[in-house]
Amino acid sequence: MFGLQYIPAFDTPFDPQAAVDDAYFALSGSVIEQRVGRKIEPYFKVTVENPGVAGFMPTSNKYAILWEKRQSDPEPVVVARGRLVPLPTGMSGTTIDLTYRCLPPSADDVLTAVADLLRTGEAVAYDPDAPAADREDAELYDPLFYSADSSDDPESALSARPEIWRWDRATLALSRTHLVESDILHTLDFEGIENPPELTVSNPPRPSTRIRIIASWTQVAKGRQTVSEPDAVSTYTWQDFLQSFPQPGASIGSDTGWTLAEAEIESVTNNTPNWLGISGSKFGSASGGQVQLQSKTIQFRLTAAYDYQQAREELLDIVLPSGLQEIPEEDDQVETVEVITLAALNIDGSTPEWEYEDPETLEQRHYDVGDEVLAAGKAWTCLFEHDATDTFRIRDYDGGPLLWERREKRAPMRDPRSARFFDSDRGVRAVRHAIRRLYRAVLERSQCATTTFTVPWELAREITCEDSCRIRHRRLPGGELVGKVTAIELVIGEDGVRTANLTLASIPGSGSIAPIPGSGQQQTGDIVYSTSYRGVREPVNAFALATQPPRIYAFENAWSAQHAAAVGSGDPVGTIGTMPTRLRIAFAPLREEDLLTRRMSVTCLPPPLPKQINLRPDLGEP
Amino acid sequence: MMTGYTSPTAILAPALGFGWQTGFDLSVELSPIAASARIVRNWNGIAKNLVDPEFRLFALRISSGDDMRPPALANMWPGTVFSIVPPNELMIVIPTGGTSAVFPRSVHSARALTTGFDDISSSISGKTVTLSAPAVEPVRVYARLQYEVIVTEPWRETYREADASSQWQLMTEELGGI
Repeated sequence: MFGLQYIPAFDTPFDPQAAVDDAYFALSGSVIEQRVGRKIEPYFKVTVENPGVAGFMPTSNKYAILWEKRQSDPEPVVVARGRLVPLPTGMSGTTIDLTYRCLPPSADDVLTAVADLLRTGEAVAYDPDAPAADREDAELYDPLFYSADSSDDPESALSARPEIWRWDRATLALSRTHLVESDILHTLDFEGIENPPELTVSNPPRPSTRIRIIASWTQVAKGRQTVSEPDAVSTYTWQDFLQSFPQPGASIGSDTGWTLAEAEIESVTNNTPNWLGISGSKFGSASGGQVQLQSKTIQFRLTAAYDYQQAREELLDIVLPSGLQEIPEEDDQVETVEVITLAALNIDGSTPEWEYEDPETLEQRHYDVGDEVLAAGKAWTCLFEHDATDTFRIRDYDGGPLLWERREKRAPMRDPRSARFFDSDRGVRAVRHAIRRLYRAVLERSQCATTTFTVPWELAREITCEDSCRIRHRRLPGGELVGKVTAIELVIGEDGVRTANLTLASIPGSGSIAPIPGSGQQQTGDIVYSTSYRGVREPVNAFALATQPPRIYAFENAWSAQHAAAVGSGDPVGTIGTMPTRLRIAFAPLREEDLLTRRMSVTCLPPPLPKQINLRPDLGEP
Repeated sequence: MMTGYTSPTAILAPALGFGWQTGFDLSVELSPIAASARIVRNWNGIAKNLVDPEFRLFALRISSGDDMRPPALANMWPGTVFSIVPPNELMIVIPTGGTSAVFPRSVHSARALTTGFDDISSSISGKTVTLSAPAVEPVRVYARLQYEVIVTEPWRETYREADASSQWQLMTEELGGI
């Protein structure tokens, strides 16, 4: 017998001794659980005699338990529990249909919170060579693939996990269940009733499935050189040298990317004057005399600065073969399932902005110790639990406790000078995440064989979408199939008929075992892959700029050259005047291209897919 | 008071008020309800009844030939529930060595007979009829059971004025429930 019993709270334990059926005169019902997107939200419907004047809503008890006690049950068993949600339609008929959703209160918030726990941020130090178990969480979620407000969509947390969210219809507990695998296999074999199972194979994955990810960033190297040697020069033309000495900020050459960060005369000291003879008509009676020329030594300091920017893009194509049995195919061999442009690599996108209040609920934010925010262009960690101050402040009041402490921003690309991404450690995480996403997409599409059939109620009462079933029938190819339950409808008919309609999804896989990575191959989850990356075009080595020596650094006409020319000239002043001392500096120009694109590819081995249905029994037994 | 004038029928149903001149020539038809069977076959051809055991209930149809006066039909609207012991006897065989027979409903009266129609002493308790000694040969137990029934269809009563006879019919099924 069945009963519908109202309970005071959603988690009130079911007491078999006190099981009653006093809510309504219930005529029929059904319990439905099915995969919708990446969620399973069961519900049950009950058709009851219209209570009419008394009203259908029980006093304040919104949750009800649907229980059953069969003759073989020692105690009543909970079939489902749920909340009476939508108002019934046709409320003045002889009977009304009541629908109960098997969800706890604030189910969306519960789901969002649990999903957020799966979102591994940038805080982890990812080591591509660590044991698989340590890498798993970081590979299954990569914030670069999601926008900052992704937590609004709990399903996105499962983009790379071959799992779906599932609410339990009897306990209202939230869990994740694997797309294909399950702990429980129900052997139904020939227990199906009436019509043969209805098998449809639709939309299998193409022989190859591709995903493209695009990482674009601006490679930036800005700074001053670390070498700043003082230098000195002795010259007769010191006045000219001092006047034409450059100012800080002056560019070196034209549009080379180099400037002077520092240009400073440290000291000017007189050398011992030199007597030089003059001769010639130009000097009149002074000809044959001597002039005293004063040379000076100038101590100066120059430091170069560089400003290099280069737009870069890496295009990574990942190809995954299907790993299915040979089945008739469409013409297209390759299908691109997703093109993903990664979020900004140089920005800390995983830390939330500081807020005074929740933008939706307008509740004031409360920050706990360890919370991390971005504010005023910096990243901060909370040191002292507090309600948000009205503007961002490090201390709430003078002498108060320190609320926030600065920390380093967590940009995926820590060093903006980097010319490569996908082959950096952080990039490997992104690549592996993309492979996992691709694998999930292919796995879901591989469940292309859908079977629906009917079984007696008592065989199906315990079956949920967490389980798998095996059925057999002479008309099935291969005679049998195993599949994950994607939908189940338990029917309590008005005429006493108790049945259950089941839908299974099976993979016509090849049944191969998981490959073992060979040399040059890498592994993430069950997927073994090899990379083919072209080298990076680096017209400028951004890391070497800080220590790069100038291409030319030379004095022209220093004191020694001036003096040597002046000694025998007869007109030392004039000679020196034509030979001013100069310092020539030149750096190799920082060549900036419009966009440097690097094409890369990853090729995966076929994934090991179970042979849940044999669509090609003609090829022999497995 | 007229003594000796009792109802000619063996039906026990106070709600129907049988008495003298009521209950001549009755037919009482007993059968399981139609909803007790929904036979399907599985993919191996094995038949199965999809209906739960709670639906193993009886239908009871009483119709009269030429009766003289109708019973208390006035308030026997569909949905009316009353209790009845029809004259129909149901039989269970106790095999040799057995001592008891369990009937689907409470036993009103029973008798145990050998196949040769010899009486065997027995006692009644609820749904069970127990022999005083283990059967030495198959024993047939005939019992009249008590049913809680609900009127399922509108009754009919036809009065023929010329010969002052009444014909009536009442359709019921067991109420059910545990």
